[in-house]
Amino acid sequence: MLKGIEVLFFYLLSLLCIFFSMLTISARNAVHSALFLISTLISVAGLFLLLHAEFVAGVQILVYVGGVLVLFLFVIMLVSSGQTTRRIFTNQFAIGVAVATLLGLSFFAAISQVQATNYFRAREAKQEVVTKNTEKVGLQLYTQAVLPFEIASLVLLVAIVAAVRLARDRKQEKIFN
Amino acid sequence: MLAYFQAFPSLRDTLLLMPELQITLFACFALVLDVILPKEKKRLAARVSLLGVAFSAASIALLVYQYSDSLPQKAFYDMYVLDGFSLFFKALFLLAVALSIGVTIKYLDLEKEQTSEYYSLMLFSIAGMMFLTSSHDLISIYVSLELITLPVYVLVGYFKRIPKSNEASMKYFLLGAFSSGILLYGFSLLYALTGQTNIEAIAQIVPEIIKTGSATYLLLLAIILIAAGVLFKMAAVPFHSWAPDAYEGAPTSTTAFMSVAVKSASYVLLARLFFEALPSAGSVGSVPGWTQLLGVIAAVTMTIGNIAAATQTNLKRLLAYSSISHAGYLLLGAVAGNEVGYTGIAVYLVAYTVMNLGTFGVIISITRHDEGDAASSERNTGEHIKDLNGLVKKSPAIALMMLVFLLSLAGIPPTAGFMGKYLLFAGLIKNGTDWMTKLAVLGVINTVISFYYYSRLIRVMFIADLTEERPLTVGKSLQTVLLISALLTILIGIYPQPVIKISESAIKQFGNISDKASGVVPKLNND
Amino acid sequence: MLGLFLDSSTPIFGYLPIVLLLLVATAFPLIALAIGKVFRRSVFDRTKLSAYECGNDPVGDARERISIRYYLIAMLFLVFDVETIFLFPWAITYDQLGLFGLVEMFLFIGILVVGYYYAWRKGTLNWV
Repeated sequence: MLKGIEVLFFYLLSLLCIFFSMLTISARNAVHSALFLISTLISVAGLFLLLHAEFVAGVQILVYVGGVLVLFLFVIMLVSSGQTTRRIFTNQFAIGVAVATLLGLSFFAAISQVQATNYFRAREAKQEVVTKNTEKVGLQLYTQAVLPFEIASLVLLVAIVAAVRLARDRKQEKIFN
Repeated sequence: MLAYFQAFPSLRDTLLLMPELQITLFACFALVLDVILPKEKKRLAARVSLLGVAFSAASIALLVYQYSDSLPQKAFYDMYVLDGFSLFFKALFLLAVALSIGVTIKYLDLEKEQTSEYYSLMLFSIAGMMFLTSSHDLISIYVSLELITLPVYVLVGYFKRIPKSNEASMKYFLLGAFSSGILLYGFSLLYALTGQTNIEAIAQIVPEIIKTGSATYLLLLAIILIAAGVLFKMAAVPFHSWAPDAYEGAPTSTTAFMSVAVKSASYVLLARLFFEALPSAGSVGSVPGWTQLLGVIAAVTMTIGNIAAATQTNLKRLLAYSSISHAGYLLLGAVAGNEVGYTGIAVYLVAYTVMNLGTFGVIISITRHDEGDAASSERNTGEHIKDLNGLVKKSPAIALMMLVFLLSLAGIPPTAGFMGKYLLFAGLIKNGTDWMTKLAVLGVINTVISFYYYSRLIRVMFIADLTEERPLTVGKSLQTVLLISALLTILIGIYPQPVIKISESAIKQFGNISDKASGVVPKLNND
Repeated sequence: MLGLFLDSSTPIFGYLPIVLLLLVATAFPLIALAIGKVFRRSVFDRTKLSAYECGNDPVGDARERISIRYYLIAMLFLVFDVETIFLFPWAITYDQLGLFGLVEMFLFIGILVVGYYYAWRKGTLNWV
């Protein structure tokens, strides 16, 4: 359970997160959209901190903000020359709204049922003031999750092959094998 | 020092992993070959890949020999499990990739782009599938799933200077990434509900949730999200819209690989998640569970797939819609939820692998390139129905084999496709519920519809006049693939007992659970 | 009510310095701009408002299309960035994992080295 000033931070970060993600999907300029996404991801990192997942929060900032978003910006620079889209939503807008409303309502129903029956109460985690989160992650990751960890390195290898195969330019293809 | 060594997962754990390790090793090897070999020698990589498949198959045989009496074997902190189910599907995936490699050699020759990366990516994808069959934990399931799909995105857009291929790859990638996200969301809800990622542990806790009724809506939501992710991978309606475009735009050899291997993998995913982790959620208390959900999806998928296929003129697009309808038939086995239905899924997947790869092999054999037309989007001739015109006059053998494959796809005896369909429908009827019997009738009606468009192909092959005089050039590799596929298709049709027997032993572990799935009160596990 | 908020036993108080740093970092440019606004003369003529590009007249859009090679480099960076992230928790728990940890990390890096070799030989690291 969050208590004290954490509650304040939780609502602040959640609202920021929702606000920035709305801006992300409604921005007409792709670069602005990417920048708003950075703000969203930083808010999510803050939420991870509140959950005492310090390592994940750090990864969120290092990988997503430092890596993925830079890549996004590169891609945007690669394709567009600063054009803004005229209409961002297509004619599927009505269907989108309907599906989103349905999903929102079902989440509301599901979560209120869980709250009414106090289902999660039993599974509440113990809290410590000083956490050794990264160490815990390490011990779990390198013992229990050793197999997915190695598979993940294969995924990364395939990502390298994919990038090289799809994005070499003609000159590089001509000179190198 | 001794403590260090004791911390190792034992040698046995690594030995269990042998088939996957060999495929991975050979995939890396094929990748390195790509930069070492000069351009004209890259065909060697195909042989190396086949060698890898052979090694892997041999170690599967050894594992069967060693452990057939003491299955399931668990390893890597229960993340990995070797059971009859995983051994069966590992062998199936190896068969699929071996046949795909044979088809690919010929296709890449046609495209004059014989590169080793293609084989390497295919092997990586297969390694992912083999990891998936043995994954017994949501985390390893998800990571293996990514290893399956990521190479396929590249294979779909492999010819990067062809706009159609790019478009196909882009569509598949965007929607695929989106669906992985939805699947992951479902996983996270499941974890929130159970506090476990292990499949077995989840299977123990879920009945408790259903019994107490404390979080049934959240459970239903998790099931729906997971189902959406899985149904996307198998191209079931309403998540099918990517399939026709991706199948048509992709290189034909990739289409063949995708339509059999990736599709089978999605049923492995279905089995691990629904038959093994959530068998008790077939119906959630008084509300319908995934049995009813999949029933509706199966009915819609079969019908829409068949009706749309009937109007197509492009062969690859037609087969894409036909593969959508096959996804629907296969779901019937899951709906039936009994041993016959599950056996039906396994048998049908074997049949589908050989007959569909054979069909794509024939399409590749009639593919030609019109020189000097490389940039246009319609550069491949041989993808249109009229390219089959009078095939029997050019090559009676190939026309005959195509006939076998098409009859099998339509489910006409005595072919493999008939055996599969028979078991799937029989499973539904054996279950006996009123709506399931109706669903089986709908399946039979759909088979009749599908015969309409398959017979159209047969007609042009045997009756229409030749429109394209150039002779066929069937390579040695393609010939072998066609021969093996045709023989297996007929063999399974005539003498299905061995395949059915192996399939039964593969799904045995779901068999006793399935009684619970059909509405009987689940056994409780209080721990 | 306020006492509940300022309950300093909540772990979040450990982050107070970071929050303060954020506040200062946000406030600093705002204050600097505000002071500038008070003291500077505001003259706006054509010459002052035009873009400055090393003495030449500015040509074209600032947001030109860039070469795809940047993308390749960025992608490779990202992959090895993720690899480095995996090294953090490993480095902390290295002493507890022992030889097993060493082997699995070597395997992990070894697989990526294959990709590195491939990318290198394919010429993606060369600016031809």
